[in-house]
Amino acid sequence: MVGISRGGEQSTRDVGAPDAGPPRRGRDRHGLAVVHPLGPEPDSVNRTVLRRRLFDRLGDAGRVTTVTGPAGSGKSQLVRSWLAEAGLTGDAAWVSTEGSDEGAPAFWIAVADALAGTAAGSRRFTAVSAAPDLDPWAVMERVLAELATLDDPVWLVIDEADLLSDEVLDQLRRVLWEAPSPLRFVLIGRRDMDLGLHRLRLEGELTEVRASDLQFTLAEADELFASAGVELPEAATALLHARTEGWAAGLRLAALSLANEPDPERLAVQFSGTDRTVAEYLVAEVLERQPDDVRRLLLRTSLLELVNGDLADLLTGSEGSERILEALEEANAFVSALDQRRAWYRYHPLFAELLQLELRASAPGEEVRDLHRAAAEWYATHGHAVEAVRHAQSAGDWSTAVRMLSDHFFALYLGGRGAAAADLLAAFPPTEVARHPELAALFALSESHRGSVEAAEWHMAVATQGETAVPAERRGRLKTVLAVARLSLARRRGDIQAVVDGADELVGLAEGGETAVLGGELLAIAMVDLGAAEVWAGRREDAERHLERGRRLAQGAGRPWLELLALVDLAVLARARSAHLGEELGTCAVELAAQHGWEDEPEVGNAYAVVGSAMVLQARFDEADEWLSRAERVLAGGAQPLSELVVGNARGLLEACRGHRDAAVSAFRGCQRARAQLLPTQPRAVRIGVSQVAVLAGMGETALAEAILAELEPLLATNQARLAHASLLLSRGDAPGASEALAPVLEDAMTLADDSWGVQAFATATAVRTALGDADGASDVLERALGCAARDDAVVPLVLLVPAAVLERRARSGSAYTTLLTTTLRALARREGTDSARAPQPLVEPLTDSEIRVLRYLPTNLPSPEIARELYLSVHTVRTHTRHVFDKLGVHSRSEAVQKARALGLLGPGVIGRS
Amino acid sequence: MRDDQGAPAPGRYEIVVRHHLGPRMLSAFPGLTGTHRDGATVLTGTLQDQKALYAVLAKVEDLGLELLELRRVMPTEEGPR
Repeated sequence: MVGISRGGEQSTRDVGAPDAGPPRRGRDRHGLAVVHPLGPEPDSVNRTVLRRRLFDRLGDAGRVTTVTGPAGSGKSQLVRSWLAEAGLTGDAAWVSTEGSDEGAPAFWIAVADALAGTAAGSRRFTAVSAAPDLDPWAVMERVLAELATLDDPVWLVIDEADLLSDEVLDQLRRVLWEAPSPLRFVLIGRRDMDLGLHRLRLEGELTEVRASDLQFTLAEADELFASAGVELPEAATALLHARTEGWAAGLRLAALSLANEPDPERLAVQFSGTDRTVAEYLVAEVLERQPDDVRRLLLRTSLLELVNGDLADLLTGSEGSERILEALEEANAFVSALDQRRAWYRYHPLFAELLQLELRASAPGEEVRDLHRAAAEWYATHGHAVEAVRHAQSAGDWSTAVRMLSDHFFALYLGGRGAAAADLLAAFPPTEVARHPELAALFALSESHRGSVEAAEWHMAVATQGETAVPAERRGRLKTVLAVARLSLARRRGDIQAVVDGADELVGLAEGGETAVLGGELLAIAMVDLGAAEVWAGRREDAERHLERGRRLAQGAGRPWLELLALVDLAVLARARSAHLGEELGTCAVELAAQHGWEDEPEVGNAYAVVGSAMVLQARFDEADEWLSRAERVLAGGAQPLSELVVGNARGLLEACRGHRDAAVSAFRGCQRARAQLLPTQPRAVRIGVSQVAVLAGMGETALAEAILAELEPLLATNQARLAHASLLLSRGDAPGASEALAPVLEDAMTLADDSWGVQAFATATAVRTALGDADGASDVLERALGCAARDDAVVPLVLLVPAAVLERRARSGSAYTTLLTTTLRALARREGTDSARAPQPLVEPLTDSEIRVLRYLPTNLPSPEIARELYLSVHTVRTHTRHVFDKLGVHSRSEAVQKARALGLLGPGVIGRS
Repeated sequence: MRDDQGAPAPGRYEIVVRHHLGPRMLSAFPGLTGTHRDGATVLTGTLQDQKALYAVLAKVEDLGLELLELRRVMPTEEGPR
């Protein structure tokens, strides 16, 4: 199925008549030819020789089949006709590189698209849109993941597999191994490919069809001539067969030249008598026998990758090319239609090559250049940038080629065809760089993007020097390209000021009308880049403003990838302020990514992190687990330290709330590296760090807590440090010390203005008050903590830092935040519930709710009368409950009871560890 | 073989393919001269580097020609033309 690329590609159009939809076969948006598995057109099936002996081999094949042989040996034709004959066309996906390296992501996108076109695949495969910088492994992994769900056999045919880049071969090797057995591979190429096939061979999974197999037998040659309507006596056929040595292309050419020939036998004899190469001789024969208009068309369109009636008319200077192409397609196997509507055609590469030789021999050089020129203009007008530039280059029209490439460079790059754009750049002779400042600028852009800083700077210098020589109307474009290159380099260097300057420059150019052609795209890039750098530098408000603008511009320009980048950064920013908003934006980003199949891209990992951490905060643990797992998987590469920190922290909190102590500690420990990279510029890293100190201290992991505090200390404001110290003091049992440390913090309006600091401060205070025996004070302070937690529904800090007893008391005595309290208590209960579910020896007789309530007070210093007052019960009742608790736990003292209860998971670790 | 500076030096090559290449085919190999011998064609010429050599071999393959021989010709042993 032809590329189902959504959005993203408005300026580089698909192959097909401008107003018609994309062809079912043909080049897709990625420039890769993807053939819809309908197989050869019904007509040609009749004319195709059914090579049964080879069909049998293909039908009995193992998981992987290779078809290798020289050009023109009939490889593709064989596989296509086999699929058609075996009725497998609905179950086969066909991908061909056709010699152009569009890069690894583009290849796997095409594979996914093609598989999505099969009957089985259509139910599973979702399209992935091309975008710049897609991670090829991520795309490939998605393909693998989708493949895992197959149960019906599906064939993936990769044509011209020997032309795949090393990178793709690497990935393909892996796919061959990990693909499930319903997926069958057919690899067609001119030579063996380095894919670890020997292992497959050893395991009997490999079927190889080689050159000698592909040679036509005499019987098959007979059939070929018969189906072409050529009548030859046996001896003559034998001669031809011997002369061509069973070479498919040779036989077909022979058939072409002999069709309608009154005395085929004479020609056959004549031909076998020559020493000429088969191809050259026969092509000459074939051409000679064509009517003038056909010959003219064949020759003059031979230099095109794709032929279209309109374009052919242009090049031949006539009308009616469409009819000729149709007739050609019907008559011979060297011209194939790429779509059902027969708007686009392609010549067999060998045939085209030979035609081109003939063209060059028969037409003066200038004429050939004119053809290239005309083709270039036509392609450019119809939105096929890559072909346009190629032909301009072939014409030696460097200025035109530079202009065309420059005009389409951003569109190509943003549309995920960066590799093709880079190839085009490389095809310019080095001498042209000095002559064309715009070309130098494009080199600079390409290199800055790849990180080749010195080369980029050198080219920038060349371009800037030549600025004045550039015609006035192109100067704006030159400046723009250079500005984007500078911005890209600045980002790479992390030079925030340079990024700001660069963005300002772009904005200036855009507003000065220099970017009319690209509309909002450049501005969008500028805003997104700028915003990202500002997030990094901690300039929140500026970042938000610019990202918002970038997002709107990207939307307007139809560039979903840019929109996604902006949205993800906005989500990250929002999360720091509000869990709700962060979740909303993060979910939005993920939905956008899903629409385009970008869910596994590392950039999206940041969105998963944001949403996951918001959910954890609100104690929505099951949901959070899913999101955090996704984040962990996608971010495994390690390039996004802030998200790593957020995810590690969230994971730690999650596990702590679930009572999985070791997992929690390990997760917190894992944050060290990411935190080290982020300090000192990221306030969020500091915030998370201090929160971890408190949580770990409460869990009794004092060593780790102290280590983290030591890291943070130089960056902490006085009261932030005091807050952290308070938690440590409390965990060491020094409640008065903790209280003293905490006192100024509780008065510090500025620190407390940030709710997340507020929650921690007041929650810690609650624990301190409780440890000092001040139940009323604890309860009061808790209300303030709840106040801070309410906006974000920040349940987890309450669960981890506030003693359960206080929460219960508050719930009973009434609070402005009953919902929040209930949620917190439920989370606490679930935690204890989880623990008891994992308890080594469950109680024979479980504790009743009332008994559990009393149990919660046992770790405190409160005597029974006090507990009674807390719980609004009589002292007698409390004592009874306590006795029952002791009985059921099989203990005789409070401390034993607490210990046992903890071991059974009936009590969480708690902030107060001493009774 | 490298020159004094250690850069790969251009070399003279003889590439032999099956059958006689006519003028059309020969024009696909600019920079190489073709001589016919019994049932084969010898393409001779100087190629700048390995990349150029492989480009020629690829072309041979593209055109469906059969490669019979590939020789690097040392300056002293250049055969009769």
